[in-house]
Amino acid sequence: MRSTPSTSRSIAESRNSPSRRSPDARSLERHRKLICRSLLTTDGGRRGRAGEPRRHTKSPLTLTPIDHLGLCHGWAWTIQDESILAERVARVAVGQYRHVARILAGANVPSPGASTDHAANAIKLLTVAPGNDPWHRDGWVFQTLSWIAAQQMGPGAVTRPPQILKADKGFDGMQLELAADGKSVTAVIVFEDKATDNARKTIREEVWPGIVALEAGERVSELTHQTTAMLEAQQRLDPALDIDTAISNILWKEVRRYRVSITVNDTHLDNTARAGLFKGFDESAPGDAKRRRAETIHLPELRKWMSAFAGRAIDHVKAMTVYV
Amino acid sequence: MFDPITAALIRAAPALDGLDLEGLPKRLTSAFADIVSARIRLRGEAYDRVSPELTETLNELRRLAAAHEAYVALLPERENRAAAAFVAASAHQTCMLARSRTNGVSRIDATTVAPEVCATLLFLVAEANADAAECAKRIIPD
Repeated sequence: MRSTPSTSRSIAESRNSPSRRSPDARSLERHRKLICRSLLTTDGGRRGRAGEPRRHTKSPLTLTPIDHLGLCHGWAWTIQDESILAERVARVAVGQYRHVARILAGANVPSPGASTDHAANAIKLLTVAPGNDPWHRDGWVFQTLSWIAAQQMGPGAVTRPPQILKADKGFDGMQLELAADGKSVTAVIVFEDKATDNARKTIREEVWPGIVALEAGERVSELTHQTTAMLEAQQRLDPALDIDTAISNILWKEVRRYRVSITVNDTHLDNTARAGLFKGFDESAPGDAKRRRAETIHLPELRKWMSAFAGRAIDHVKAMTVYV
Repeated sequence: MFDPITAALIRAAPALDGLDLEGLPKRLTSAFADIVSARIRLRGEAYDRVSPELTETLNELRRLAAAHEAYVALLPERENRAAAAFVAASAHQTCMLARSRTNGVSRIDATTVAPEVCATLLFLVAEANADAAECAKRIIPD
């Protein structure tokens, strides 16, 4: 017998009613309510409809331009609001990166919920398994921060969706740089994102050799296939995209830029020290300085901070889990 | 050397800045000959000892393969798609000659596809079935 809409609704409601849920689901629900309450009563964001988490429209990172003349240029990221940032990371972890991108682009849209399966996967992503080192978890969190910073830069580029697996293969991130008219692609930007306790050593021993290898033509099939996939996606969104120019620029002429993002401690805070950190960038990726982007975020006690931040993101994941 | 019909197909490939389409069949043939000769000369030695000229040739072939493969993937209605596919496959195939086969199986994953797989598929797109069959011999399954 076919159920009427009202019957279907009442079955669904009864299935999700507190009395029918498992102890885990009840605990998750209690936690969600607590977090929602705290989100609704803290800083100045907007309230959503009754029972919804507040809509965050504030940028979680402040981006300050840096310019090491001739060597590289970029932005230093400062965390403006850690709770909002953790919420953004939590949404990426549950697979809602499109929603985050819309919010970062200035849209004022209600926040969707997440299923318990998505939440469980996200919590796993944000948790270091017993006996494991935190590098992969921290690396994933940092890649997501880097993606958020890239999104905050506004229009002018198409950014590849963030990775959803720890230590995923492929490039840390990628962007297609658009011409002023938005109809043609002028360059591809390859991201190197590093969450590290020793920035200079990581740059010297991992980042520069990776860039030199790319410049020498290594990983070219990977770059071609990922670039082509991004162009295909962009072509669907904008059928007027000039594919011929895009192919000519980024695959034939190899107009390529690098964006190195790295965590720094007190050692590389001031301008001179930061320039020293990126020493050798111009030798690894020769040519115009616009090929070399350098981004930093000051996180003095990186592992401790990452652990606390991941915990905060997990709280947000639990708070947004609204259905099974 | 390419037969006249294949040479005409190659010349019909999409234009790229600085690429001499008229001379492309000859360019592919000479690149192939240079690589075969380098293989004989270097027999068993590391390929990083190839001359700067050959490195430059390989880089150009890589870019040629990448650009024309993208044309095939992104512009399926393009009238010269078969020509783009044949040029991309030939460029892949020539680059593969310069590669030592120590990489194990032909890789296909979420981020990339091995060139021998790409070249085989591209030859099929170009309806060059015999070339596709020959190229497929380089595919090493897992």
